[in-house]
Formats: sequence, C-alpha cells, structure tokens
Amino acid sequence: MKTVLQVGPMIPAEWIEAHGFRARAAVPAAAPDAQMGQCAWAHAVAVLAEKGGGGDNLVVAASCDQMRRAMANPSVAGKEGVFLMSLPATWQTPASRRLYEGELRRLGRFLVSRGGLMPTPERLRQAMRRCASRRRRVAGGRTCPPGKIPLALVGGPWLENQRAILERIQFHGGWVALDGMENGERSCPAPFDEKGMRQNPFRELARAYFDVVPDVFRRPNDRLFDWLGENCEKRGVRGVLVIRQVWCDLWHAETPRIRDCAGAPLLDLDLAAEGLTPGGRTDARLQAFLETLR
Amino acid sequence: MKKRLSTLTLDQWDGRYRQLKRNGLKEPSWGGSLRRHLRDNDQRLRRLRFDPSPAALHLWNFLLTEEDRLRQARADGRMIVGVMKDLGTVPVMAYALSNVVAFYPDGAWWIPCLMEQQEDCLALADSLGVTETFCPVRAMLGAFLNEAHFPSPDLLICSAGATCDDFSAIVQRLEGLGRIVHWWEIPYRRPPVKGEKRVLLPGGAAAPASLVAAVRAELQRIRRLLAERSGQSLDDAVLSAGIRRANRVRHLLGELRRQVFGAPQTPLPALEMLIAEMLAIHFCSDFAGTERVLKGLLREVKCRVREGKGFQETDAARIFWVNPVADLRVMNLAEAAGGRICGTDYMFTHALDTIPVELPPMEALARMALSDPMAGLSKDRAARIARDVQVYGAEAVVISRIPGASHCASEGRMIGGILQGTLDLPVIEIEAPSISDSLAPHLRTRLEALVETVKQRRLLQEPQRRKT
Repeated sequence: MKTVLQVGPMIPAEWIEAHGFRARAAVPAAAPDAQMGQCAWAHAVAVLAEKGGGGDNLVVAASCDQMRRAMANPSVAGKEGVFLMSLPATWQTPASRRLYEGELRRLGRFLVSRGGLMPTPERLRQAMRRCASRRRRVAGGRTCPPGKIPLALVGGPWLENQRAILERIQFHGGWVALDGMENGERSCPAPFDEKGMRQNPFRELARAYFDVVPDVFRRPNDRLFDWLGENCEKRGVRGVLVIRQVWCDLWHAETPRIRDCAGAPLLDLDLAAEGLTPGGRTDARLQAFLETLR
Repeated sequence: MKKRLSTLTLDQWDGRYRQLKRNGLKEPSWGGSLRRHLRDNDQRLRRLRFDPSPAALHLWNFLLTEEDRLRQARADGRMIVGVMKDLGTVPVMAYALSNVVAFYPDGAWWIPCLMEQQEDCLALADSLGVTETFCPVRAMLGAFLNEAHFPSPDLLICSAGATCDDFSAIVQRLEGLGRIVHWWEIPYRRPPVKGEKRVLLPGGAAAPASLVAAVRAELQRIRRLLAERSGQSLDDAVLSAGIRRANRVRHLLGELRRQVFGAPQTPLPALEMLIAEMLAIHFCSDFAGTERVLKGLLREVKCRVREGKGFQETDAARIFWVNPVADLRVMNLAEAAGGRICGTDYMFTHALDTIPVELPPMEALARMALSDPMAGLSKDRAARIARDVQVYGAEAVVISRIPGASHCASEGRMIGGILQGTLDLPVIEIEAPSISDSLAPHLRTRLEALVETVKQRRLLQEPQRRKT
C-alpha cells in the first residue's frame, strides 16, 4: 500500500484510506536557508515538496499565508505527487462548507490520478470506522503519573528536531496531559454520527472535520478557546506551554488570549528552527517554568 | 528645452500657499495650508518633499482630513462601515448606498509614519502582545483601542482566507476584545485544472468558475448585511450604479497612470502618485471629493506634459515599484537617487481595473474580488507586473518588503526571480520600517546602485539597438 504524507489540519485520513492509501503525518526536520521572516515549518515543508515528498505522495493543507506562499514557489508549485489543498478560514456559512467539500473532492481526484481507487460509500464508511477505533485506542487510559505535573501543549505544527522538547518536559518533571498541537488530539474530528454515515458518509466526514476541529486560523476562532478551557479543566492541567514557530503570526497573536482562557500559568515558547538544546536558553526557561509549578 | 520642476519642503509650501492665496486660490471645504496638519501631529510632513501645485495641495488636504469627514458622517447620522483587508471590493457596494460611509481602518498602518511614532498605537499593540514581528498594520489595533484616529465603525466587515497572516491575526484579536466582525471568505485563487470551467478575471488571471461562485455567495451575504443595516435597498440597479461610479474613479486613475508613467519627464512625483492611487480603494470617505481631486491632478499632469515640464531629467531610471512603503519618505528617496516611478503594484491592482459592467453586478464584483493580486499565486502577480513593466517601459524593479509581513518573507524573492528570468531586468528588494531615517543612507545607496545599473545597461544596449 502506498503512503500519502499529510501536512496541515483537516485532511481526513479516512478519505485518503478510502482511496487505498496509507495516511501518515509528515514531520520534516528543519531545512537550511530559510529567509528572514519565513516560518521554519512552511520552509521545511516546501523543501520536502521540492523533493517530491521523499518518494511518497504529499498532501499539504494550507491554513496560513506562509504555507500558501512557500508552496507557491515555482520549484514546488505543480510538482508531481504534491497536492496543495486550500482550507477556508470561515466556517459558519454554506459557501465555506462547499469550498471545503470541493477541496476534498479535488483531493480525491488527485489520489485517483496517483493510482488510488475511486472510493465507494461503503469503503469510506469502513475507513471512517477504522480510524475512529484507532483514535479511541490512542485516547484511552491516560493518567498523570504520580509526582508529575500535568501540562497542556498548544500550538501549530512543529519540526522533528523541535520535538526534543517532549523529552525535556519529562526530564524536568512534566507530563503531557493535553495535546493541543497540530496532529494532536485537538485536530481530531468529532465522533462520526452513525445515521449521517449511513445516509451520506462524505457529508458526515466533512461535517466531523469542518464543523468541529478547532484551530487558530479559523474565523472566528472562538472554538479553539472553548476547547482549550474545557479540556484544561477536565484534565487538571496545571501549566500551559504554547509552542510556536518564531514567525507564526497566527499563534503569536493569540497567546495572550490562550493565557486568559487556560486558567493555568503559561509559558510562551517561540522555537527557532534548530529547536532546543539541553541546557540551552529554551530548556532553562522550561525548567524554571516547571519548578514554579511544583 | 525641458523645464525642470522642483518639489517643496513643508516650510517652502508656507510661502507657496500664501502666494496661491494672494492669487485667488479656490479651495474645497477641506482646504487650508499643509502646515496646519502639524497640529494633528502629522510630524512626518516636515521631512517630506511635495509637489508644488494646487492640485497636489488638494490631494494632501483631502487625505489628511479624512478623520474629520468620518466624524462629520457620524454627526450627520450616516452609517460608518469599517471595511478591512479586501482593498477595494466592499466599498463599491457600501458607496452605492446614500447613507453609508466606508473606510479602511487598515490605513492606520501609516499612523506611526505620519506621526513619527509620537502616538500610542504601536505601544497599545505591544501591550496586547502584537509586537514588532507583525507588519506595521498592527497600529490599527492600537487605533481601535484609543479611538483617537477614526470614529468607532458601526459595522466591521473583513475578508479572510487567502489574506496575510498578520492582518487576519490582528483582526481576530480585535474580535477577541469584543468587537463584532463580519468575516467573508476570499479563497485562494488556484489555477483551474484541466477540464474545469474557468473564468477570466479583470487583470488577466484565470480562476475556476466554482471559486467565483463561492465569492459571489459570500458577497451576497455582505450585500444583505449592508442593506439590512442601512435600511436601504441594494438591488442590482443600485449596485450597478455604484459600480459605474467606482469605474469613473478607476478610469481617472488609469488615465493618470498612463500620463505620469508614460511621460518623457516625471509630471507628478512618486509620493503624490502613491496617495492618488490609494484613493481608489475607498474614495477616502468622500466619492465626489475623490473625483474632484483626481480630475485636478489629471488636469495638472496633462498641462505639464503639454508644456514639457517635469521633476527630473529625462534620463532618470524608469523603475517599477512593488508593494506600498511603510515610510512615505522612501518615495522621495527613490527620486532623489535618480529614479522615477513608471508602474506600480501596491497590492491593490484589482482596485484599479475596470469592473466589468456587462455582467450581473454580483458576478462582476466577485470576479474583481478574486483578481486581488494577494489572493493568488505569486507567479500570477509577477506575470501582471511583467506585462505592466513592458507597457510602461520600466527598466528596473524595486520590491519593497513590508517589515514582518507574512507575504514578504518569500514572495519578493519569488517575484524577483520570475522577473529576472522573463525580462532580464535588474531587481532589488529593500525593506523600510515606518520611520526609515536611520536606514536612509543604506536605502539610498541601494537605490543609487540600481539607477547606475540601469544607466550602464543603457550604454551597453545602445550599440546593439543601433545595429538592429
């Protein structure tokens, strides 16, 4: 089975699997030569796309200007095996829902052109059930180990080398109780409605993602704060880490609002492309933050 | 023999104004000396150089009195609509209604420049965590909070989707602070794929028909909102009349651009041309005033062209300028360095193109909105720039990066690369903050180097041209 690498929120793995591919989130490492002001993540994805997705098909959902522009680079745009999906920012109108559904259909045509199968409603239903069951297994049974400090991670996408921060959180006595990063539980669709699946699985899939997934780029984006406030309380979160790329305006601008709604102390970590070095500045800030929460 | 005109400083304009008054200068209601704007703390005027004509005086006075007009509109009971980001579409609808005034709070991005940061807009934005990593449009957030620069709009309408991250994030913060924002979607203008129904847009780009339909549906929603809130009908006939009026301004500007960019000598300085072009997006809160100002400028320019008058030598390097500058003084600097502006893309070329009148009005507006150069591929924008470069005979391109703007991180290099590849023109990128005085020597050196390159290329190309 061929793999489709996906980048960005609201790309249904179910839709990719229904076309006969395996869906996997791409986590590129930092790429050299990003320009001043350029988001390190968008640049790394563009470099991955330039290489044709490293042999796999690559689907990129553009939810921000930085990503749209990185993917518009002539060395990337129109590259074989690379698909740019445009996500509407608004979500409360039939027109924006139609745009999203249109993009899913266009993605479907791309997948078929890459050797995928035309999905039948039944195959889509099966993929939806399979993915839902996988998500339930991953989500189940998370309890904070004794002596550890439950934290929420909130932010957009992060590079492979930036994820060393997870080890440092553990090292300094923290524990991730809530994963609000891109590709974390925040980006999961709503549970599928059986009746909706029976009637029109495509519509139900679009509903579960488009009407529900909270994200910072959505206009308005109140649901992100509702989701965060509700889940921080439910999980007993004692500290919030906002993890963002240095030039990401969308997460940067909302950090004060996250601080207001999370109901817990917040540490704003703007990560350079090279990530975090044990004992370095960012690590020291993390350590100090966790010390204050003990 | 060509006659060389000179720009004036603010001090020189005092004498010029007295002289014009003695000679019976007739002024519109917003008239007066330029110096009076210092009372409003527009300190940047002290450092700019201005065109000496009454037409340019009216232009400046018109621009710098917009706040008064908005406050008068409020006093007269007219509805004030704050339109954000789309740069030219929704105002066409709003100004079709007689009791509505629309303006762009986005314009606040020039407040730090005009007031030389002697106000608190940026400090207020800082206090909300919107720091200098954002584009200078963050001043708008401060302007909304201190309410010192424009009256609080009765209605806020903002486009979202294929827009810059800075602006979208800042308006979302505004909404988070309790303002009601009516968002509408402007989708990313991807190229149509094989077999997909396509629509040709004003400006020359093509878009899938499905995207045009989506924008039409979104604008339809805004149309209903404007009609409902203003209590007036905004039917097709009213809208069509609004489009025809907007086209009058666009035609005036089109003619002004042709005259100025095509003249042997610069008949109107780059700074005044920048301000004049800005009038297209929302008519500076007074449609009739905009027409009057533009007609005055066009008369002046035609007269100068006829008489062979201009501001520079005829050998000034012909430069195409991309993106507006955060510091107005940079336009003076470009001319002082020996360049003249022959073609522009200030990010709102869709507000300069004629809106198609042969189409149903909502379809026409949707096509216009989707032709926004910032909503599509950089290569589409570069293609239009390349076309205009050839039309106006520009010999070099300056891409002016806006500090912190999401689109500027990579777009400038892309457009520059495409233009160099297709036109074999020298291209430079510069970046100027709201107050660029400390960078002026550096900027001037770069611009002078570009001018020298252009002149050198002329010398090299001359023998070839003679041969052919």
